[in-house]
Amino acid sequence: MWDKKEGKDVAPGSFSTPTGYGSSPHPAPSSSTTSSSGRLVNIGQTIFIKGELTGTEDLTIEGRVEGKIELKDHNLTIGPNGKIKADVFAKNIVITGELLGNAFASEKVEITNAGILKGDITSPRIVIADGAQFKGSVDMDKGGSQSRNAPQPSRGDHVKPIQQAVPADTSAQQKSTTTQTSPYYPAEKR
Amino acid sequence: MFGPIFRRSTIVDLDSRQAMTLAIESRLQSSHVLPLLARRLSLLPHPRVLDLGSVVGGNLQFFIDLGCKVTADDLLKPVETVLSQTGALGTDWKGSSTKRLEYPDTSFDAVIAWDLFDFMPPAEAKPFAHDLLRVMKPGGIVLAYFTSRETERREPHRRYRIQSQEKVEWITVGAARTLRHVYKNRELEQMFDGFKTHTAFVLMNGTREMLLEKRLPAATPTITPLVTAVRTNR
Repeated sequence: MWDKKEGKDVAPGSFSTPTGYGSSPHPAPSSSTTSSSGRLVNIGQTIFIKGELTGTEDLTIEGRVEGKIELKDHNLTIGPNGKIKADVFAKNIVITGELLGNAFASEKVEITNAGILKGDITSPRIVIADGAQFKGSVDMDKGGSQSRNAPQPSRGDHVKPIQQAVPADTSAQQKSTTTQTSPYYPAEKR
Repeated sequence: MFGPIFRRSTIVDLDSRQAMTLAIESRLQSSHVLPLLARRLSLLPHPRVLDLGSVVGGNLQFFIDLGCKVTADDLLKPVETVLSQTGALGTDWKGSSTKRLEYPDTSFDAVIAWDLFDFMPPAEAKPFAHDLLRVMKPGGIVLAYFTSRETERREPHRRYRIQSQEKVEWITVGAARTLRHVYKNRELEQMFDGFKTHTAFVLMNGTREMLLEKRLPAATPTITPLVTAVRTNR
């Protein structure tokens, strides 16, 4: 079941990095292909796991996983044939296959040009290649929102699809009502 | 309200050589509305942006750096997938846009639509614009591009990359082509009932850049309570 291979053999395929605003991706850490023990664990194409998957090694998934994946401080690669239906927690997440669920990364989430992600991303760094499929919200735990004076929104403040939606929080309601009279500065051109 | 008037269009198909040329086309163009949108968003506390695609990572980063919560929902991607699988040239968009946007009312401060509406059949574009109206906050802004060309023709979809606040690069996606509609100003006005034009520019390449603003709700008249009226009479 656990097919151990050399890191270089199962490293995620290189992809064209996008150009444009803020698109100079940070170089992938060397640990993205090998674990601390110098090897990388691979779940093969024919493997189907249903349940909770936890570990302290880097992992590449080419098969199917449903449930929850937690690799604290380690890297997860979803290979081209990988199909994941789970919330995923890892240090770096590289998606070349398909992920239906939320991705939580402490360092970076990367969707390659063949990758599909339908779920929310919570990560300080995100790389989405041209051609990648992404449907969901992005929450980066840094950046402009921290430079603002207004308080940080809670996780529940994210926009959710209707079927998962919770009633809008009262602070948001108050905000919208108070800003209705003049929500923005006067327009420059009319 | 919508600037110059554009004439009724006719459909023109491209030959294969022209299609090949379009398939690799990429151009840098100015943007006059993006700085205005960026300025607006930067003034709002925790603005929420919906990117309807084509989703480009760098664009998401641009709005994240403005402090926005970004939601991506690439509506062109399913169409592109069908086109790439069937290899169809000239297949038109059908049904993909009739779905309701899966978001609560008044969720977003801005919607980035690029040229999405041009590729929708007019019959689908209007209900979709109404659904956009629903998910947007009052005063929210839609960024949209419309072609001002006189003829309708089948074109490959474009992917727009924000290079800076003043520059946007577009690149064609694949060789498959979808009919790109040309909307007259009156049609746009009807389609975006409930919006008003905030800003509109016509670029040198014939692209109409528009910011459409959701109208604020009309102020309700205040009724003086009877007790107050009695006191005033004293």
